Amino acid sequence: MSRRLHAVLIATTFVAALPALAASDDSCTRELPRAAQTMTIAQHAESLFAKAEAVESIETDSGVTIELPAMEVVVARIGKDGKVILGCVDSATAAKRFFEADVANVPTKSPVEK
Amino acid sequence: MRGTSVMKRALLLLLTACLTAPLFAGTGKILIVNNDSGSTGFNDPTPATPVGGNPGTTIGAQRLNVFRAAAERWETLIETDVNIIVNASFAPISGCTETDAILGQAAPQSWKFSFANAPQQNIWYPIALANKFAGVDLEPNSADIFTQFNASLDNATCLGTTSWYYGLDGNHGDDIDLFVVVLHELAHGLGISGAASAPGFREGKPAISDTLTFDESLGLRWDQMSDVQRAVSVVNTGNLTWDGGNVKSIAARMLAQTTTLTITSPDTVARNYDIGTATFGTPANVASMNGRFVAALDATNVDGPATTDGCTTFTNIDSIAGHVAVVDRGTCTFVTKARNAQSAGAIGLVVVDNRRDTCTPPGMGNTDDASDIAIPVISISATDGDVLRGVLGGGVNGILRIDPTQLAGSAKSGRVRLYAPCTIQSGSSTHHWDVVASPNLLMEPNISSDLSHGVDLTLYQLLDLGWTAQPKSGRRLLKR
Repeated sequence: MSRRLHAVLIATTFVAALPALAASDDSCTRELPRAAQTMTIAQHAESLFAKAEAVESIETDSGVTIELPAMEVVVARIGKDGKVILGCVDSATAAKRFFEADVANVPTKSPVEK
Repeated sequence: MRGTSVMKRALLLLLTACLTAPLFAGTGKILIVNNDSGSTGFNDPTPATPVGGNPGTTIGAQRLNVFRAAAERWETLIETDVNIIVNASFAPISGCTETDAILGQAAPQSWKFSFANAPQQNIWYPIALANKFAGVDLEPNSADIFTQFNASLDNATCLGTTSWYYGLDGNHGDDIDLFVVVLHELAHGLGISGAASAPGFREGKPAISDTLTFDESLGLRWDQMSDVQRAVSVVNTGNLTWDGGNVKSIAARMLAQTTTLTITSPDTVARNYDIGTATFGTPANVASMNGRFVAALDATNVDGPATTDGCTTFTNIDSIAGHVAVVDRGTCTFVTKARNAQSAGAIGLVVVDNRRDTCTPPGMGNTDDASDIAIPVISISATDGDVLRGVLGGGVNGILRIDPTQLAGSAKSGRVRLYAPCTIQSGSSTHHWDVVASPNLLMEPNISSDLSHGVDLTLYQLLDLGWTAQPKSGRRLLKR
């Protein structure tokens, strides 16, 4: 194989691989999981925080760094009065409780009936 | 002659320098990087009518305008010489149904310690703040903050008719004001966050915010505590506070005075108690409830299975008359309980919450007519109810009053309370203000719909973390 043909093959392989590399680089996109239909929203939220548990720091020339996925997640439910209740949660436990609690018990500053 | 010419040129250069100097100190900008591809998110070409001061003519453009406006707000308030890069996406997220949704997420892109010019060693700093201290971009190949919001909210299948509001004027109606939510989330990205889920430390090291988290009961900051102590502290409702001088010094100008229930005797339970108020009856204000607190008893029947629920005529009227009745929440309406208390001659009613998963007393509404209720009605948490019920038999005295030393959202020390629900519940712990704050604050966990576009205490919290304010940003700093 000539050196020129070899260079062309390497270049072709590299270009062909680019989309795959970009798609797998979740440090750039950090998309929320597009999970299976069976996954509940509470599980979606929990999975965001689960990712953070496994991350470890790395030492670089500029110090020690850790890159974390979601730490603050905005969640919402429709309250008994039909209005949206927002919450900002920073743990899997808090997210689970937000979605699984009786909606009447989700903290809100609006008066409750009973 | 030559000297005069040189002098003129020097003056001209000086004048030019003054005129071209940036309006704000610090040359860094907060830059939004559109991370969406194709025609999704910020690139959504769906035509839109400009709304509330947002001139965008497509949905995508309007979303981006809101992000840029929120970034600009922070840019004009905090100072840095290093650009802050926000990696932003607004693509649809599958986590949404008619009633529940994940609307988005945000955080510092990374955390750092042992970097050049770090004010404290072995403390995690959010990367944007680390860059500010270092004076250079320590991670030039990555962003500093990441955010992702859910475009699906604009579909009818996601939270019904509720959508994002893309106006910049706060007139969001029943929709969700995106500007406020982005303002809130960017503040998390700037450092009002942690490197681990509270109360944990990442790799044994606290984040800078942990070093300002203070337990009033123990008199210790989180970085001074053991893991066991922090685990207790994180649910120490009312006693977890922010130990930053900037926030403390401005709190009295931001927070309202509040009516509190002060128990005056016996000494063992004498202190202030958080209360919930009712939309009916005499407003719970100063001296509207002052006297002895007595447990009300009623029959056990189909209207109320407990003798303490206040759902039927009180059976200990002689003990109740002229005093404050105490009943438990549940079974019947608040109005029914209040009517029974009033009929028994009580001068006020305290409803003890029956929820064990929260320490925040409920606000009490009414759908049926309550115009006959003339006594004040307040609620207290189940935990506080346990405390008071334990000594009611021996005589408990108290008064509703405004304690001048305690603001709505601060502890007696003057430190502002952090959200530390007695069980880890909806809304996070520690990276938000306690929901008892009044007026409502930007960094409360429920991002209230009545928030204006101001940043209230948030700026001062960022200053406590180590950010510096843009000079001469004037009254905007105090505007809510």
